[in-house]
Amino acid sequence: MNRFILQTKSVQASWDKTQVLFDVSANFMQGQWTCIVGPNGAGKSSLLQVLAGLIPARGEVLLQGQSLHQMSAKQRALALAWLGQQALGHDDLRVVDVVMLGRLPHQSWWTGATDEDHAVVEELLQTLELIAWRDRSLGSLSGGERQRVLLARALAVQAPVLLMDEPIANVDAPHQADWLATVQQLTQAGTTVISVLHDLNLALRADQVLVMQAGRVLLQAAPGDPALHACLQQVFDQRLSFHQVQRHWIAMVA
Amino acid sequence: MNNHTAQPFPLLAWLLPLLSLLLLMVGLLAGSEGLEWPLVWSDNIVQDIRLPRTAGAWLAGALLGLAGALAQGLFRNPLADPYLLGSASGATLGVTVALMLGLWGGTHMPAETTMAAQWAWRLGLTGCAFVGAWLAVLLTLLLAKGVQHTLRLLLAGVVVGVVLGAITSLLLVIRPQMFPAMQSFMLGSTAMLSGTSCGLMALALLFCWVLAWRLSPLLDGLSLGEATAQSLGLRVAPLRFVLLGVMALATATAVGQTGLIAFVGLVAPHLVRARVRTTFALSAVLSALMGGVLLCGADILARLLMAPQELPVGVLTGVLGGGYLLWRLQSPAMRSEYAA
Repeated sequence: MNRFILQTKSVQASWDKTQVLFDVSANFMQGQWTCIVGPNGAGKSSLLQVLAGLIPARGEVLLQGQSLHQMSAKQRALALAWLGQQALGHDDLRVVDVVMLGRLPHQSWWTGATDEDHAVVEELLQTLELIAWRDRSLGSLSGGERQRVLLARALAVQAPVLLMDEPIANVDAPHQADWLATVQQLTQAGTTVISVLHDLNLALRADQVLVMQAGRVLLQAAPGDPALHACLQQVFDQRLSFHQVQRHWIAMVA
Repeated sequence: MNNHTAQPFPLLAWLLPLLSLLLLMVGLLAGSEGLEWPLVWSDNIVQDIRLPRTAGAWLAGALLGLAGALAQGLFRNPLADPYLLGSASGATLGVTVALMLGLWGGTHMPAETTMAAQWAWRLGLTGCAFVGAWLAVLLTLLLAKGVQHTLRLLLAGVVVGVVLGAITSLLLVIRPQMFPAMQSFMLGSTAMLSGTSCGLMALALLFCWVLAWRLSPLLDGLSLGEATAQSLGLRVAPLRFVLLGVMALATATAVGQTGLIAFVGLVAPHLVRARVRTTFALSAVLSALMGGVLLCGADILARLLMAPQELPVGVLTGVLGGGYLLWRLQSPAMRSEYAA
């Protein structure tokens, strides 16, 4: 049985006539959290967008063995939940409306939200401690609060794969810990999580770390793998040192 | 179970229909000598002139309010309105060309004519206005290279509006005999409204309303960014194209009957958003109701302020709407909204 829920094979992608991904091949195991890291401009966000089917790419992207590009928009939406980098701005929607948007792939064109959709949304608002802001507009929230609402929106899709681009930018430390706990619960329940993070210490809590540089994948390995540490050293100009604290690895700026 | 999750029905949703009914009553009473009480329903003036005019003003305002809400939702810009994107200028040019070529019986609908001929005349003018509006929006999108860059889009819209307005003026210089007929059209007037135009606008409003309602998830999704909307399975490009068509149809139908009426499409969604933060589906309905109330109210004022003389309603909405927006721009909330 193929345990890779998502795979890329020799993927190449361009952005505004500039090639951003070169021959990218990667495998993502079901029920694991993979974190994509690398310096600015490495192609991390581009790879995530290719995995979500949001930008066209040459090569193959396989979701459960099936070509992503041959799937309908609705099939993709049900299988892949996306949480992108968000610019802060005004927004009319209430928090509950935003989270309900995550249920759109489950709704048909002529029917609105069902009882089940409402139940999922209310449960997420409770679980992620958003219930107090339920009727506030998204635009009235701080950057960190907004990120938490958008995470709830992505979770409301209940997709087997969750793709997140910088999901904890602007989120304070206690809520970063909550985010981490949420990701761990999701993976234990069988959801595959793929995220782009700049925070290497959080990235080293993932099951797998995928290192990118200049549009290429350099290595995909477990956080404790010495080859990963060497690779990260090389990518970040030998300015990191790695230490094990209790069961976890941390990266310190040298 | 849904009771506690249901969206609270905003006060505006009750207030605006009530205000609409009240204004309809006042509109039936407003004559050349001021308010005439009691209302004599059997009076031909009430049935043939005041009723279509008042109801028509409400319908045209509702169409413009809906078009404004669509423009602001589609372009995620609170300054977008049918005028700024060139569709109103395009609709005016479409009507001017139709009248110039003498299509559908020349510049004026003949007084003695059949119902079918009246519908054909109104439909013809509205069709030309729609084609003009649609082409103008497409030209704006072409010049702006899509909708991604808001500033480029608005600038392109202004340029298209100015150029099409200049072409309309040029056509009027070439055919000066059209000028009297076009003057009230350019200033915006409800005096030309008839039962046929009301029927046409009601049909267009219903059609546009239903489509906007059903396609509203796209606009809600788009408020979180194009990638998020796409990831939710929404077909962004074709749905955006359809909604642009709905916006052009709403604008063209209103402009085709009343001429250029400024600021209603811009101000109505602003007034709604100042009171209610909600999904696009409800916001579009409220913006349409608000547009109807604004134009109907402005029309009554235009009739009564200098009675027995009438002010062109477009001039009044321009002054009042512009003043309101200038006042709103000074509010801290608006400043931070535009700075964001």
